[in-house]
Amino acid sequence: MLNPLRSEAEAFRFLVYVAVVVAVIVAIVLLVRAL
Amino acid sequence: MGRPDARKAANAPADGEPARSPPVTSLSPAPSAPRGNRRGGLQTRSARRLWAVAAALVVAVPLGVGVATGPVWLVPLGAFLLVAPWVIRFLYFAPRWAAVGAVAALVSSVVDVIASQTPLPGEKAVVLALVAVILGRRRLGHRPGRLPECTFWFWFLLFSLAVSGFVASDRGETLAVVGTESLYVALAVGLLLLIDTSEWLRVTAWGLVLSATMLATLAVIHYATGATGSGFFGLASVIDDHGQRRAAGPTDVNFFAQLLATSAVLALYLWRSTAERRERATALTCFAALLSGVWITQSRGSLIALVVGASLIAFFVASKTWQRWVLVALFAVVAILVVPPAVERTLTSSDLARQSRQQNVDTRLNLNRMAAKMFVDHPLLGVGAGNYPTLVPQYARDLNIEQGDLVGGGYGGDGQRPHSLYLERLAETGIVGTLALLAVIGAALRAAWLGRRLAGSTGILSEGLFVALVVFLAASAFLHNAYPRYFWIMVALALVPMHLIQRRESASGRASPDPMEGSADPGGTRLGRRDRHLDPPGDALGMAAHRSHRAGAGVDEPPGRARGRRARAGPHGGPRLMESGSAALGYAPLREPAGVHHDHEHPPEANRSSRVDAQFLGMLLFIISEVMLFGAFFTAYFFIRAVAGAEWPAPGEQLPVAIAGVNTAVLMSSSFTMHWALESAKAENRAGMRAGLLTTFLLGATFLTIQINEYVHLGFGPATNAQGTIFFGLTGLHGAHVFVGLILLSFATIRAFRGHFTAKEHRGVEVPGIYWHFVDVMWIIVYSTVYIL
Repeated sequence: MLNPLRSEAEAFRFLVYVAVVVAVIVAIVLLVRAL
Repeated sequence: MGRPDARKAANAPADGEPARSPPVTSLSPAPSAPRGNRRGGLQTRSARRLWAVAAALVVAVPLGVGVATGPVWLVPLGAFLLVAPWVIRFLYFAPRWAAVGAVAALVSSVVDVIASQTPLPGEKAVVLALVAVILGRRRLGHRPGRLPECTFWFWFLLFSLAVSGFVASDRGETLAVVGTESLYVALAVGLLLLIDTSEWLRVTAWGLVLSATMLATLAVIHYATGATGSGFFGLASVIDDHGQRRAAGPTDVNFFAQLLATSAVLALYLWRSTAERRERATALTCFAALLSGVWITQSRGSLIALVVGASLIAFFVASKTWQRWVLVALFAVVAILVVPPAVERTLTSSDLARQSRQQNVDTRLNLNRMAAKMFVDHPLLGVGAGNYPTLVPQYARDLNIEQGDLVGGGYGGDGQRPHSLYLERLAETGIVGTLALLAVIGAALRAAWLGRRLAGSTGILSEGLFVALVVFLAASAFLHNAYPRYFWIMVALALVPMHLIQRRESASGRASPDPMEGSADPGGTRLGRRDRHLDPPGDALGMAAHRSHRAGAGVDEPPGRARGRRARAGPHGGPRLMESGSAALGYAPLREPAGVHHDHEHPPEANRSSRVDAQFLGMLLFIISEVMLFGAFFTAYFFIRAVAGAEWPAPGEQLPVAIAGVNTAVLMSSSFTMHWALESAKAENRAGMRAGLLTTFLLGATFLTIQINEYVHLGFGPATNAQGTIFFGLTGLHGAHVFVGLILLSFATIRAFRGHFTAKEHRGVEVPGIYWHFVDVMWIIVYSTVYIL
């Protein structure tokens, strides 16, 4: 399992995942608002 | 005097090294500019290139200036053209003369005379030339020695000045102060890089003393001729202070006296530290001239500072403890009973003069009162560097001080500064700036103090630097920071002994039992440096930690004590806190690792849980506490948006989504460069790691700068409305995290450049990396909720 506290590489991967997830959420929210 | 044996060894290189030997550095174990290379260096490609650049500059700069200013300048420029190649060639072979020359030119104010008579830049040109010499040397393969770690405080000082600008009403003034101080920090660092042997410290001290003596002599001549006003191209001047003539030198009565008093102490110690008759005679002549110079300035502050210096010298000279205490008591009595009336009698020859002096004192008290009030009103960051004069009218009204009671006849007149360096710093930069100043002063005093233990004349000269700095600082209690160049030159010179000590430590490594007798040992140096990644992260800055971890290298303690500490220290060179803690509490380890042998030379192994790794647990707890901290702020945010249903942002306000978006990209890219740095470290690619860390740091700093700039131009503040409070709270909290991350990154970057990390051991990069990614994750959440949604 991904553990961002274990190593920098995992923390970096975690950051990328967070960025993608947040981007998706923001896109959905903006889309819903626009509709 | 105190050390008769030391005087004998005065002229010989006291620390057993040739005068111009290049410093031993760990980064380049082999001495990088050997004697043979100094002449042969001209044949190398980089040397030829440097010559070409220098020659181009020599032709281009004067021609440019000549064209700009007209034909009248062609004569001095022609002379400059003739001399410049020789000067450059001379500095190529003897670059340390650049440091001596810079000190002499700045102290003697010759650069100011040149700058006032011609369109050439004065001190800026001197500092730039110094930097050019250092860079040129580096280009030619000479690696300068490591700076003392306490130079970190220089940056802290600059930082504190810059930070005070955020609260300043006139940022331009703060910027000017930061610019000036940066110039002098560069000067101090340059001096520290070039003056790397005790012989050169001596030469530079002579440069300072002779320059000050020249000024003192000119002042005495000018004074004795009965003249008033400026003379000798402005190098000497005599002012008429209500019927009393006072020498003001090239600057101002009090600052001139401060310089002369400081130099007099140095002259005295140059006399003490040599056995050579001609040198002793010169030093004594300088001492006499400098004291006469102080006398004709009739500056009370400097006289008091000299009394302080004399007490200190007597304290050092007295060999027994009781003698010292008797001396201290004696000087205290003299200072309290004799000095004030004597000074009063000597300095006030007429009723008019007495009256004017009383008024002068009142004026200063008023200026200092305003400074104190500014500090009380703005204790943390002050009113902003350089902003005191701007606020004088306002504070004068608040304190009911009339315009006539101020210098310069009115609000905002000339010379309206607090009459104390320390009060000025407190008022303008608050506690933060004052602490930074005290840290720099403390580091310099400590370095000179430790230097007293160095062998021979260097020890005596270090003592002289200590006393001279104390005299300078004592005089500064009555003067503001109008000529920071003297301050920085004194600080740099006082730090040189630390430079010598550290270089000797790294040269002797751990092998030599006596740090004074350390021989060059490149292998030992590499070993000593390479395994420093095992030390705690603070070692990059904390000298105490650094010194105690390198057991046996302590210069300020006798070999016996050092040996005792070495015995207490574990096999890793330092006592382990947890281990000694558990041993002291009487806890026996629950289980012993295999292979532990009980030779009783170090405490038992730490008692640790086998389930969770201690470092992981620490990081976990830290991140949990951080999440809760941010959670509290997000709760407030969601409360006013979701529960209270307030408009976001507040009506009439706009958030700079686009700029923050760019900033987000900047921070995201910094995470990529961080990842790159660590991957490079794992692949043993040191250049990549260094570049990655440096880029991460710069990107992080860019992020912070853009954010602060955004704050300035937002148009609303934290107190405007609830939305403003939440906005500044959330983004400010994050900004604080970025700041902490930058500090961690700076440690990692410095250590990376010092070669502390390897493919296997790079925890010092890994942990800041994790923290940095965490900060980035938080920003993504903050940005999306606060700015976009």
